[in-house]
Amino acid sequence: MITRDQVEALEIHLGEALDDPCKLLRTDRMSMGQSRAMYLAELECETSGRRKVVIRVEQWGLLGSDSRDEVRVMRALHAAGLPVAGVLSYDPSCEILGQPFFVMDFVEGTSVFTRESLDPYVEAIAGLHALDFAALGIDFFDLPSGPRDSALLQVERWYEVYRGDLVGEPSPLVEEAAQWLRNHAPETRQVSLVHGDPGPGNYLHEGGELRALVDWEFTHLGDAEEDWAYLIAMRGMGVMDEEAWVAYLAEKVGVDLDRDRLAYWIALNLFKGACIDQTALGIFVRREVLAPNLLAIGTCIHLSALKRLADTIF
Amino acid sequence: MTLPVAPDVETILDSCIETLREVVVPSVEGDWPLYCAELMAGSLEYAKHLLREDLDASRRAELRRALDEVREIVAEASVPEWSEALAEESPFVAASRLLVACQNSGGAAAEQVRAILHPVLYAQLDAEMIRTRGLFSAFARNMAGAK
Repeated sequence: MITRDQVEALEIHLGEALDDPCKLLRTDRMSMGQSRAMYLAELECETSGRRKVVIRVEQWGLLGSDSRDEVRVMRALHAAGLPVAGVLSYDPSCEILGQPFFVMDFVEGTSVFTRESLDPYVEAIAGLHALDFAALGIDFFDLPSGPRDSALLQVERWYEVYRGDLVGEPSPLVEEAAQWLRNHAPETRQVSLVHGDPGPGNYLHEGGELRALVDWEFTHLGDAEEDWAYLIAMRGMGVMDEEAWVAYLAEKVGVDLDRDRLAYWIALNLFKGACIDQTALGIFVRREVLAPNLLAIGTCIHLSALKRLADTIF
Repeated sequence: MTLPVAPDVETILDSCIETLREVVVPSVEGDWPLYCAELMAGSLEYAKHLLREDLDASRRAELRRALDEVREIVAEASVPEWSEALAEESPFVAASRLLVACQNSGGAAAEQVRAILHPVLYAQLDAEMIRTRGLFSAFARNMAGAK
């Protein structure tokens, strides 16, 4: 929640970011997004008049990511002309809102899934995978160097997040799954920019036109199959079944998914979910944030991911 | 002055859950407040389960019994990591280490260990999922892109 005490400092910050002094007329918490508190802010600016911006505030390390790389990758992709909201400012200091945050352009559109929005969306994700990320200055992520590193780097990244925020004692099934994923990591043929959380809910569209790709906090360098697996088995699982997704992606964007490898990447995504969800429980039991969505993420959402993970690999 | 009989905690929680679902949720405006109200009802249901049962003690006991069952298999296998795992005081740490070691060793004995430990862990997982069902439903209804 943005408190009255924080408004004055936030107005100064926004005025400097926009180079246009402004008053904050209202802020509404948006229900979309879990890892960040998102606010739609309406401003009255001296020169440009009324405008809307989105304020994205970190939540004590929830889901194991921070805004620094998210802002860097958004800026690089926006500058390259991809449908990504422009970042107006980034404040990592915790002095204004108590947590790092960034401000971005408000993009008109809806995140509610429609079938007609899917074609331009998957084409955009395929385009993202084909980008020459180094040419765009995206050189701040760990670069997988060995053939199995795209998988192994992700396993260790999420395992560290899990162990770093462990509440009480380890979960035997999570520990065992981590070892299974290490032992079965596939080789990657080509390193791509991976969105990390693609699918319905994480893009804005209007009238069948893609307006913005959102939620860049999990973006990294790795195997594009990781994204397709996430789309198929996580955010897109209610859209069509795995068989239909594989056929659709082959036809629409020419992606030929090997089913064994796909199974591995689905498992890795479920593992990632189980690990990052535990950060919510840590934040909740330490009483840093007592929001009920954190209790949900740290309990039932973690358990759901773990159950699917165990069913997939054991 | 005290009440001769105080209302019990479960009844009070049930009243809160029913009021949230029947009164508050239908009248709340705004996505975020509505989402929070639905989650609160699920949270209270979960809290009722936690008040009723000492889950920590029962889960430890169940897992400890399963670990006792695998002792013979571990002794016959003569894998140092397996024996070291079983020596851990916490059953969760012991099961974690043993299952990881079994992933690395493979073989029939590892399968036998998993066949004993997995059902206990899955049963605990399933039971916890049932307890948090209300929370899950509220969360899923409000997932980005779902409405």
